[in-house]
Amino acid sequence: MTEEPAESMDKAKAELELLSLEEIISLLGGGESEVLSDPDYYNRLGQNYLAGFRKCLQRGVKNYRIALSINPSFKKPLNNLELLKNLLQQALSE
Amino acid sequence: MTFSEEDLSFFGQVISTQEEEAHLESFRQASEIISHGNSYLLESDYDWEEKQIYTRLYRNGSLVLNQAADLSKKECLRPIKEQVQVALQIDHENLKSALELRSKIGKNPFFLNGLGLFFYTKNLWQEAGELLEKAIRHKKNYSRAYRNLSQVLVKMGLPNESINLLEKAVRLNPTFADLHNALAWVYLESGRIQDARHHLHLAIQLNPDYYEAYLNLCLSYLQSAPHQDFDQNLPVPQEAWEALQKAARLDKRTAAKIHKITSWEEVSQQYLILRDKQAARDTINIRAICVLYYIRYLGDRENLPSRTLAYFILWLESKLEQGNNFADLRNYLATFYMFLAGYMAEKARRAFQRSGNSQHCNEESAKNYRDLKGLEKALRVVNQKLTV
Repeated sequence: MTEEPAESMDKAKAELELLSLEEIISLLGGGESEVLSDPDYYNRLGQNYLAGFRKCLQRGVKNYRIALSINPSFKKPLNNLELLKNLLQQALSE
Repeated sequence: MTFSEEDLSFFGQVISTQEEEAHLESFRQASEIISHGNSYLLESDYDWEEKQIYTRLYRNGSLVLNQAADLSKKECLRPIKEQVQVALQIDHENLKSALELRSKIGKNPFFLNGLGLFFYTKNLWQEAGELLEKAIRHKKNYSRAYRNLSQVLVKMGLPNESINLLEKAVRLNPTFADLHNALAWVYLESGRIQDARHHLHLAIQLNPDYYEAYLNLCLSYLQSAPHQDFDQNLPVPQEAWEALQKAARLDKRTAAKIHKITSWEEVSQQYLILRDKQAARDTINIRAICVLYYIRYLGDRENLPSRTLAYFILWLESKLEQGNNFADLRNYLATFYMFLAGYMAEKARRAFQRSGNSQHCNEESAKNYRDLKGLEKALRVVNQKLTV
């Protein structure tokens, strides 16, 4: 345990778009068994992991697009993007 | 005649015969891994002369690798002691996981080849060779595994075996330029210059922008051009010059320099400069670690903590910023973000579950939990299918 998760949680909530990889790392260091009976704590923790999840998804898509812009005939990022598109469509429709 | 300090008196100043010992602090740290009956000792320390952290790898007591630590920009800002510690931790973690993965990856040729490549970059020829041979056994026409194994054989001092292997690989896949170039390189090492040129021309036919093949072609002509006496200004070997010009044609400044060349020596010098530039661009170590993390996620996820993956992403981003912005490395980075997203979804779902399961059941948490459950499952399936 390297950092009090509540600190990074508030930060992430306020600056969702600015969540950096370092903040994601500190979030991953957060303990899940710290406050055993506080549902608000787990709700906040969940919200922050959710923010981290969205950020990773965004960065994944962004980097596949950069890979394609470097080499437009590179099939792998194109196929990977297609897979993700299907995943999101499926998730949104459910 | 006795040898005393007076003998070294120079303009009245006595030069001490004893080397002044600088009492520089040592930050040395070491760790050992025992695997399959072999000992792998890793050692990390700060080199005061080079002002750089080095890590060394000993296999069964023999030094096999001594290389500068490759830390991310942020890690380099830490105190030296911590940098030494981090460098050792990273190498230990990577090597340990790679050694353990050998018994977990089964017959998957891609995994076998990728892991073999990782061991190759660590100068662990025996470990690399075994995995690459296995990859070829399970996929008979696996060109990349042939190429990697041929390089291992050259490093083991077995050029003839390397040639036999590559000749077979070229017969199986005559349209893979890398194989022709690899075979040509081993021919060059063995002094078979005409055979080397034949395959370099084939490699260039298949890939007209093949920088390394042009450099090898240039070397083949430099090797056969007369150059027994460096005192005389020998004429430019025309073919070597042409190959060099083709290699440099995308770099206007270098191309202009090569255009003005008038001697053998200048061609040789420019060849070495371009070879050096190529070595600086060589990203085999980055690719080998990327493939290791990819295999770790797919083949041994329970032993890849999310934080370790996130730190690795940080390191990879820093490598891309440092001029290694290649499409395949970006594709790797994007894939690792997707893997990390999978961990995040799992952690979020668990947190919402704990929140929702309590007496003060929160509706929003319960909804998030339901949404994430499906998404996490779907992402897990997609992550297995992402290609690198």
